[in-house]
Amino acid sequence: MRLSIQVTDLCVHYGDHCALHHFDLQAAPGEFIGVVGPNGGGKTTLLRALLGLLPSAHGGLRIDGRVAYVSQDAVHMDPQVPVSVLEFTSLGRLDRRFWRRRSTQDRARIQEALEETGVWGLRRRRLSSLSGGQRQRVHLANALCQDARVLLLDEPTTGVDPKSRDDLYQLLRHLSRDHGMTVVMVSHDTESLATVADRIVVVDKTKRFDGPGEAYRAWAAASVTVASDNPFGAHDGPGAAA
Amino acid sequence: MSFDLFLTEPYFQRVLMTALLVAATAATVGVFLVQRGMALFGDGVAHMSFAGIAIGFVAGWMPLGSAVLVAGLGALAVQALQRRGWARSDAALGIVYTSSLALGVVLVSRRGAVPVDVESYLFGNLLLAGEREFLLAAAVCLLVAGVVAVLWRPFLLLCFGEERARVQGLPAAALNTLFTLLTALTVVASVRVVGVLLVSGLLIVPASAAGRLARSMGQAVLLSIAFAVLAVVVGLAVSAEFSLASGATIALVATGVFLGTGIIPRRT
Repeated sequence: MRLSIQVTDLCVHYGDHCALHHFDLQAAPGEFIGVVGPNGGGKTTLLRALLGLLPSAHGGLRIDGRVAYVSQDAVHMDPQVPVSVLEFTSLGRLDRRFWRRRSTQDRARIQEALEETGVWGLRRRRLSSLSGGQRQRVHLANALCQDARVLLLDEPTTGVDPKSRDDLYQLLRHLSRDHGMTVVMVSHDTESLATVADRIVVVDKTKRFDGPGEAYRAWAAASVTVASDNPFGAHDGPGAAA
Repeated sequence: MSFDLFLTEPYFQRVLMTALLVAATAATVGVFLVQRGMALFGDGVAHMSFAGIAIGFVAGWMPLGSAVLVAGLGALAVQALQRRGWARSDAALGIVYTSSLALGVVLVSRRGAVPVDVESYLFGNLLLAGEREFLLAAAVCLLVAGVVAVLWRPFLLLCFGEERARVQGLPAAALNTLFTLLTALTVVASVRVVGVLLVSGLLIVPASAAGRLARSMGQAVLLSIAFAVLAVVVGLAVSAEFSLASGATIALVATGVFLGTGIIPRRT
């Protein structure tokens, strides 16, 4: 089977600081992967490497198809830009041929993405007037418009109420199962991720754990037990090599 | 002097047309500057253009021509300092515009080197705008309108960060350089109307007022142009009636418009 993401022996350094070390990751089409780990552990660095934004990254890195990205500050960063929901979503259709006019096919895709994410009724509203959850859906509609095979999300549930967060998880689940989109989501919301994602990957400079949600829970519980005996070895517990 | 002159006399009609062209151009570029968090960039570029004006006078070149060159090079220097990690964007802007302004002042301070009224470039004097300024304003207005029409969506995408544009496969650095050069041209074309020190009056203030009210970027640009045109017409009328400095009066009227938008509820 052709993999959507294939990362082999990835190393990223910022000067003398090692952000990621000998990191491996494979993802199949339609897989939903939750990436968790401590602050500064390299989660965002991993996403930036997958996006091709880190020229200093070494190792094998191959992505099948286009990548869309919903950033950590997507909900908070752009409230002042006077852009309508429709205008923002349509930006997802921009690509290397950025000078071309929007086609009928583009317009149909934009409408489809807005309907799929449940924000078609808000298309004339200013993006900044929406709630955090609604805005997050618009960012997903923008990502859908890009016809991406891989969707990367960095802490998308920060500042979003619990109902909107659950709706977002359902939508991501739908995109991965029904559209075959590979979803890689970085989050601190480990409990919800362990339930909804196919696999959890723990990143702390390198890969500490990779397995299904249930196995992750057992690994995390064992790690806490070990950590209470040896506070310096929290991530060296059972399952580290899983 | 009466404002009627601007409507009846050919010379003054051309002056008014120059001011309106500059207002529309600055208001358009200003919307993107404000939304990209680069509001003071235009102000900095205006300061840089002063060095170009001084070089033009000392070397006997057309001052606005050398101003375009120096402002463009200065704007690119700010980008280069930032990209190479020598300084943050605001610090890079401060370094380049201070040194450019200093160079301009040093050149102007040479005894007898500059036989013209420097103050008119610093604070604007629309009545000195001749055919050359009109042609420059018209050319820059056409160029900006054409480029913005073709690159509307890429420029809008840049408002959400260069990285987003890069991820989608757009040449973000090249688009940014093009936008920077458009800003430099717009600023130099505005210098005769509002002056080096008051360029923000047309570039930033109408765009900020429009940004508060608009529901889309298209609306923001149209509103920004309307506010800038209003500031120019009212500013010229008031300055003509009470014999006030035209550039400063236009900038003050623009600020009044901005404050006036505070009483209008924000649209959703």
